Amino acid sequence: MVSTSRVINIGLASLAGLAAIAWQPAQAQCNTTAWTTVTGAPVSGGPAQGVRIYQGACGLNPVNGAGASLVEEATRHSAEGGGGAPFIARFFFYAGITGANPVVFRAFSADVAGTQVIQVTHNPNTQNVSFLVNGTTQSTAANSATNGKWIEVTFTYNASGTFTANTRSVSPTAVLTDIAGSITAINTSALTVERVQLGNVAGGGGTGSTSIDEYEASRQVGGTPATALTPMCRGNVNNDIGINVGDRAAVTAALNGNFPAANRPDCNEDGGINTGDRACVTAMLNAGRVCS
Amino acid sequence: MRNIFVKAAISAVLFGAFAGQASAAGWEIWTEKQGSDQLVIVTSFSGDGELDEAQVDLSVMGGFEILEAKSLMKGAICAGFKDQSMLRSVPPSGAGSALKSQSTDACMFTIRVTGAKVWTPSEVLKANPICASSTKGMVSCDASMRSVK
Repeated sequence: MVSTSRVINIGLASLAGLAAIAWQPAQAQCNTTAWTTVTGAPVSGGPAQGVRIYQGACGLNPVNGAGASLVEEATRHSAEGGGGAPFIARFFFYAGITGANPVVFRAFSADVAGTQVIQVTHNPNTQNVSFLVNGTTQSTAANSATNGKWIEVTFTYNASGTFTANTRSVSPTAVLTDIAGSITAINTSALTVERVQLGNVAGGGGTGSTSIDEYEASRQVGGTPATALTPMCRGNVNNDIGINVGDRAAVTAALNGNFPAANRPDCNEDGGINTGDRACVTAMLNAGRVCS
Repeated sequence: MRNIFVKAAISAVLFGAFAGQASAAGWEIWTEKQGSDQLVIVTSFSGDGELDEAQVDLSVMGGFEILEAKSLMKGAICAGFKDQSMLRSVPPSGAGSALKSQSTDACMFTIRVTGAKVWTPSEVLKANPICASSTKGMVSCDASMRSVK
């Protein structure tokens, strides 16, 4: 977190104080009260509720096939003093729907109604991500966002400037390999980001389900500009100084139902917490993987 | 032959000294200098009845080459990373169960020291032990270095 610009991290959880009681059984009270609006009854919870998590004890499973199922935040970027300044955001979605192209993120130019500014869609057939901005669609390379994995999406939106985005996901065949996706810059209009939606925001379809976790945005407040988001280090499960056996212990703790707020136990990012994640950390130890 | 004999001797020292004994959790780093430029290192870990994860990273000061990294325990990670000037020993995960209290050899490394003509093992190696428990998180543990004369 930074104090100069506003970094919003709504991890789809309301777990006050959980970080301070790491290694205690997480008495998670997952809910969506931190969001401005909730539509279509997405399910907040953790593995015990059948909800996938990327970090902490809570994630969000939007309902699929019953209309839009989403959470929404009125960012009011202009009112904060940001206006046309950069809007930087990151979120994770689970690529678990096939037979349809789920829209997992949208941004609008007003806190109520307004014009769509950004749309992010997963394409399970080509296994990539498409970004629709200012009437232009660009997609990451095929097979850069594979089915059955968490997909990390990071973007920077500059009104009257450019939109850039990157994705990252784990190779389905090589646990040590991260697959990066990117697009070339898209020219934007003068519209600003004033509201965001995450979930199965266009109404769903197909089979399976998606999940959402760790939405975080950095944007200008007053005269202080947004700052880049801190990179996450896969394998650093307990989110400390690096990758070591403490991360294997943290995976074991998660297998026993303990999910400290800062921990990311799904090392192989396959949507489940299991012994494969301990094997993933072992593989990283064996490879000498470090956090950069 | 001499090399094999000395490695066997180091293991014999370890087993002779610790086999069957419970001890405080931590690492023993046994070293033997061979000739003017080679160093044999055996890492051995003892649990405390609670720890289920252990690791020791040995930083190597100055230039060196890794001649061999051998596992002495099934499933242990015994790896050398030249770019990080580091030798890593990690016993198999206890996966929620405590690691054995008995001292158990994990890895044996053989390196050639190229960074200095005159050196001692304690000048070349620096141990960074890391231990953890799935119920307590990170737990401190020790590493001591001993030389076989």
